Amino acid sequence: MRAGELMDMFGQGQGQSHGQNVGNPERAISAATGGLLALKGLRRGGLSGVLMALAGAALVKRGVTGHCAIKQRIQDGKGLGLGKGIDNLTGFGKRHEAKPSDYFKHGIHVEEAVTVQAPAGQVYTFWRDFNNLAKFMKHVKSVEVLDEKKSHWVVEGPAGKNVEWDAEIINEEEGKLISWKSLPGAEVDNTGTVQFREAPAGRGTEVRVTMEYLPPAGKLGLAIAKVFGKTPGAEVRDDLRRLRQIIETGEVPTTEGQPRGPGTRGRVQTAVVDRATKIMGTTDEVKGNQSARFGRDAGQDREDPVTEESSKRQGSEEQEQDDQNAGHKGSANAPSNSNSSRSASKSDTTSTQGGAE
Amino acid sequence: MKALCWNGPKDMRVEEVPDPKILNPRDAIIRVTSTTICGSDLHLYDGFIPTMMAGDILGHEFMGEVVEVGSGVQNLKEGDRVIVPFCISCGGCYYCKRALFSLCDNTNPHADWVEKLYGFSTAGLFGYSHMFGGYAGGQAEYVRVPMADIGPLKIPNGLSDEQVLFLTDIFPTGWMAAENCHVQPGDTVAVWGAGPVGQFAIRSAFLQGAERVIAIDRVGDRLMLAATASGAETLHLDDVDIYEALRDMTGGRGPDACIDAVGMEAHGFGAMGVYDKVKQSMMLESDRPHVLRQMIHCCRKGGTLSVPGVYSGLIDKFPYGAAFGKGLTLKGGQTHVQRYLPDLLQMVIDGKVDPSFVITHHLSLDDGPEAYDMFLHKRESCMKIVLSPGKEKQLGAKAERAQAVRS
Repeated sequence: MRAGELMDMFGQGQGQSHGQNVGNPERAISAATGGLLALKGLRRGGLSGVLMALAGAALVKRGVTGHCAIKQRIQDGKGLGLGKGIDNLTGFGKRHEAKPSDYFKHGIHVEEAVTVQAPAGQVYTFWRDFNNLAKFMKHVKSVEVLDEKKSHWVVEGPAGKNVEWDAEIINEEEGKLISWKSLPGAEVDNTGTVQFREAPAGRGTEVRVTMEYLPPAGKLGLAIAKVFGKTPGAEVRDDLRRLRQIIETGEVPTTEGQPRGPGTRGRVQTAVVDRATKIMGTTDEVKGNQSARFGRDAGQDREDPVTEESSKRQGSEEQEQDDQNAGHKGSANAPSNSNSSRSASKSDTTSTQGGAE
Repeated sequence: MKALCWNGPKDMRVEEVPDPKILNPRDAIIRVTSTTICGSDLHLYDGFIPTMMAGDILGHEFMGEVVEVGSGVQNLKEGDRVIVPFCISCGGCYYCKRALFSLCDNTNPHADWVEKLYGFSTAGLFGYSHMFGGYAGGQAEYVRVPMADIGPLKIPNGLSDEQVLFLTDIFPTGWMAAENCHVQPGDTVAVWGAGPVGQFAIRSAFLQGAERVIAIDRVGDRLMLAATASGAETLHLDDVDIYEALRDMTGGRGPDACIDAVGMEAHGFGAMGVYDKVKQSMMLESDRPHVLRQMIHCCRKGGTLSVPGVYSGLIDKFPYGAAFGKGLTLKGGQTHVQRYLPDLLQMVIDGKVDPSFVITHHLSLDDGPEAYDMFLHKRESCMKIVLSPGKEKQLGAKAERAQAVRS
């Protein structure tokens, strides 16, 4: 990719021209640090990993374009907006309201659907009670209902920092759909609709989420994220699967906390599945992947990306071992104030305790 | 508690692990009284199923006594004696509501992995790799049973563990294999593999009205059991050309239905056998499809191929042209155990079937590692091993010393 293209991609989403205001050595450091952060975020996977990667991408942008929004703000006499935290460091700090044309030009489009065995009215009612959303939206830490239309969202963001915004319901039809948009000042502008529709002949209710959001660091960050981690679409698909599990069974399946032998080496990693996918899903690209057969080999493969889920664990006794893994420092960020239903819904993964050798 | 843990290919160990506890409202904890090693466990033992982790507790055929139930389980109580189906099913999803329990939408915590591999996820299974949920299995003193209000079946007094244990998997699996053949009066069913599932497929095909059942294997003892226990005719793989023999036995028509009770680790012959073995060991194909190929060739036109044997991924040189040209029906899938349990239990109660006829060994859970090895190599005519957690160790030097001291 030529540098010009790179800069074009980074230039998206800001709606203003930037002059160079960062010196060359600083640009190089910024770009390198950003690259590392991006890689780390991508290894971590999941939405928080994606956001971390986006933060890194913003630093890369700073290096490549030679423009720093923070310096610009200082130069413009606007100040840093103390208390805004990580956002200013990562380019999240824009404070204008996203217009439809912004979404059209620069937005990331996500559309996912799941069919749930329950009447549309029931699924709608469950969703419309926003207190339920954190039960199945994995990265959403809380949704506080402010009034009939407005709510405040706290979502797990990069490097353990939260991303927050206020949202407003802009359209709703009981039992059929809910549309929302984020309000001015959102750290990640987003808008979307969830629809509830009866599937044919008693097949349940189709729940379809259509949403757009503006990635803080433009589309390049997302392009990198798609190559290495879960796409936002896959994250929404996982969330909708949990919605179905909760409505159909009343719980989210888990193995976290079950016994296992002391012979555990490392942990189950999505990399093993990726390799298995190569082996079992396609016929090419499989040479040299024999080790995928054996969990033992996979466990020793410590350089591989760690599952997003394992970083959500709340137990602390394994932390030291975990920290041997790059990109795993987010482990201690599990919410400490989660209620019981939350923690049940959040612990949907394999136990990975103990005994790393 | 003690549990039988997978530590790598051909490396099973009895290890001390924490007791399981209730993790979700619909969980129950079962004290295991009897468990067995399934033929499909050998695929894990050999290391042919991906996403295994050292420390995983195996075992998906087990029964025992309920010792604890979660707040969401109303139909079980402490002290109930139950058998537990190997597939974990929620009872509320599209598939469970249609009695397709092994296709349950909601019980695999790693559903996204299976979606990558298969397009859509199937049910979580006990002790069968992390891809299928990563649930700790029942080759242990205690086991946690999720969705305990749907799976476990209470066993009436008067029936021994040995009589009902195989309702957890191999009896329903053999039964569903025969059911998938849609046996019609006068039909001949050929069954590849006279192991435990094959034995139940043979018995079930007769119970469902087959005129003749032909068992095919390369282990004499197993063919003998198929003949004596269920009345099957037998073909030894080493003695005859299977296609010619089946054609001849059916008056030139070929069998009406064929059952593959062998699966992904079939032993092939000649150049093709070597080809598959090499490709599988290189992970260039995950499954060795000798039986499938042979069934396509041998089955009569318009017949049915039923596949209870486990396949997990890719196969190679699959003669689909022949299957297409002959208009064959192919049916497979993990068993919807819960669907068959009431009827099959009634058959056991009525004395129509005594599933214990496949048992060759009663051992202790402590004998697990040796038992896997014996089962894999079919030593001592090994067909089906029942492991009891409470029993004293039977095999190995320690047991021999204990024996010497006693005598």
